[in-house]
Amino acid sequence: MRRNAIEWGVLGASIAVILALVVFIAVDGLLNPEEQAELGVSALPARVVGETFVVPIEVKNEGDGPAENVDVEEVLLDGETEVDTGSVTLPFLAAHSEIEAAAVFAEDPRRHRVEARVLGYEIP
Amino acid sequence: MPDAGKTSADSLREFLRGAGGGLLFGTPLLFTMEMWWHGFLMPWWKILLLLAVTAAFVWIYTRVGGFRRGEATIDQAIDVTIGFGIGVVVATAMLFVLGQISPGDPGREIAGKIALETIPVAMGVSVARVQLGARRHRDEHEEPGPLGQALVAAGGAMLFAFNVAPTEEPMLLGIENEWWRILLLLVLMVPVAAILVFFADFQGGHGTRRAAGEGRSPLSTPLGESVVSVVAALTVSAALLWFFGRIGIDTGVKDAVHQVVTLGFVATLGSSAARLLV
Repeated sequence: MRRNAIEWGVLGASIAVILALVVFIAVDGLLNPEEQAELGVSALPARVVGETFVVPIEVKNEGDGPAENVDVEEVLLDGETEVDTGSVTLPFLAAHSEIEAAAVFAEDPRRHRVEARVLGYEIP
Repeated sequence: MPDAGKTSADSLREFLRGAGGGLLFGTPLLFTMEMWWHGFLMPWWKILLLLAVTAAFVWIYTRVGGFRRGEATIDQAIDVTIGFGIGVVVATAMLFVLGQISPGDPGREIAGKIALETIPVAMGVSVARVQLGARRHRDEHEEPGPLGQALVAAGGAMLFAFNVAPTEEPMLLGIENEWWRILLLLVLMVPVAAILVFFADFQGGHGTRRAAGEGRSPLSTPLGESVVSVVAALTVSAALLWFFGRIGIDTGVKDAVHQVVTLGFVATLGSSAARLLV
């Protein structure tokens, strides 16, 4: 069947983008067979929002695998005593990605030490 | 695609029609968050397998359906390749516009999302290019045999059920519903398929003469064809649910069957619609 230059051009471009996509996914998958999430969380400076206090957190996944239903807890500590706790659940966290979230407190976090930690997550 | 002597303008129009069809069919899933999530949750080999299976279905649908029967295999393969190429470009552009991929995102996440969203878009591209154009290429006198009909029905089931399979609803409906509702859904499938293809008088329907089954094999009677449609739909549903991680070897038989039947009802509409088109 006779094809014109545009059709050959589109065919060439199609082969290029499909190959690029397939090769990338295959190579990435083969080079990272043990895909596991590596989660870390850090609390950012607190903000006052209306009559509540918000402590933003940055949850990072530095692993090669995703995590699902990530439970993160933030605790306000006065010495070793827990003053208040807040939590947030992230539905998904892709590999090598980060999400900003926040927990809300009634107590002023600026008067206490803030600790944030990942409580658990599902492995998809 | 191109007939001998097709001009560049004709080709451009055909590609634009393909891109438009891709958007038409792909947009519901481009706006579905589970599809974005599956882009990085689905194992890499499942994504590639799903791409390959879809490419095979698109090729079968156009070839067995009779739309490209006169063309050489290499030309059909070229058309499927171009359909997926347009699909990749359209899916990438739309994911970027919708803010679901950005330059700083992890490569695997970007690639996974593009690959998954390419599937419905590419199916839409192919349907638009062979069936929604000003001229249909199909030889109207040829009709696929029983195996061809089953494959075309499976292609239609794939096209339609793919819109629902990635979402949580088939799983929730399947798990939460009582057994008798699932049974009712299953029992409804055959008459729904028969009504759509034989009795509702849709354009492309097989009409009352075919409904009478004159001079046909048992598989070409309304009951036979409808059963084939339903079996194809259930098979495709099971495969899609497995691809999207809803069922597996560790899933209870009851939960798996309920989910397959639930999604199977959606797929039956697709498999029947495909029979209308061919």
